Amino acid sequence: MARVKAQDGDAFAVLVERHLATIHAFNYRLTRDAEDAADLAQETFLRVWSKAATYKPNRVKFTTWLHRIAHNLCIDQHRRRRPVDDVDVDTLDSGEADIEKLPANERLRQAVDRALADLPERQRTALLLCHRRNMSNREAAEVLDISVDALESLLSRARRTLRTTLRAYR
Amino acid sequence: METDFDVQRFEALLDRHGAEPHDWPAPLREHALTLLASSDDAKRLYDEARLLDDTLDTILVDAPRPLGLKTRILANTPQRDPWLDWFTVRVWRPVVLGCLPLAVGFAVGANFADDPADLEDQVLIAFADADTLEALALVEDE
Repeated sequence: MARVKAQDGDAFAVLVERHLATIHAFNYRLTRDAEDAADLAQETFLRVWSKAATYKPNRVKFTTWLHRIAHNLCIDQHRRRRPVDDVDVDTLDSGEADIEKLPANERLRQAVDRALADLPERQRTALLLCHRRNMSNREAAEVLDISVDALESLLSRARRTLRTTLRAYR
Repeated sequence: METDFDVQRFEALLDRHGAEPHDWPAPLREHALTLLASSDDAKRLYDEARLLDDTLDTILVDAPRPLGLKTRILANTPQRDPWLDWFTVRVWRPVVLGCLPLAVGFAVGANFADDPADLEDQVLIAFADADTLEALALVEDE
């Protein structure tokens, strides 16, 4: 990262290679759209390049800083698009009807998927960051710029909501 | 030793840390596992939490990375021009530094030369005797 700070293009290429898959996957989990995830990954790394001088390694881990940039860009995009993404109630109803025709495990999966998408943004992000110890609770708290207690409260509410959905479809 | 580790606390642990015992904080793990071995309610909650984690695994699959994404990112990164860097360091910067004293000298010289009256005042002050300077200072103090 020190070399990237000095605007070393070769070092930046190595950094992109090392972290691109993780950031693309993170963006995809947040946006649920492969193309958006790719565009946001590109924007994330361009931001890293242009803001490298502001990175303070003694304050925060690089991966935490990187995820924070990616997360903020995803939030910005979500805010910009929200008015366009209003859900059509008719489409939603027909979706519910289709779920009933699916096998039990697929029904469960789709129900949890939908419940996950409906979670408040910060709860969803907390869960995505921490699922299967992708990040420790402390690191995820740093990405969201909140305390560990607040992060665990978000996780708690998210998992309870999803478990309620899960019970209904078991 | 925590003796009040009940099902409610176990549920809170699952909600905060998921269903994988390795991820549970070490001080609570033993109590949680003891409760899990002895309580049907704890077992039910644990199974539910595991099913949730497994279901999330099937949902949170990674999208295939678009081909050429890395190339696209690197192509869009504003690169510094090595020739421009060389020109700045080897030519432009020395020229600017070299011209600076010249420019300062020119500015000072031009300032003195502009107004002959100013030049006259400067000469008078420069060659004034001590009494005159003292008198000037007293006038300023008043």
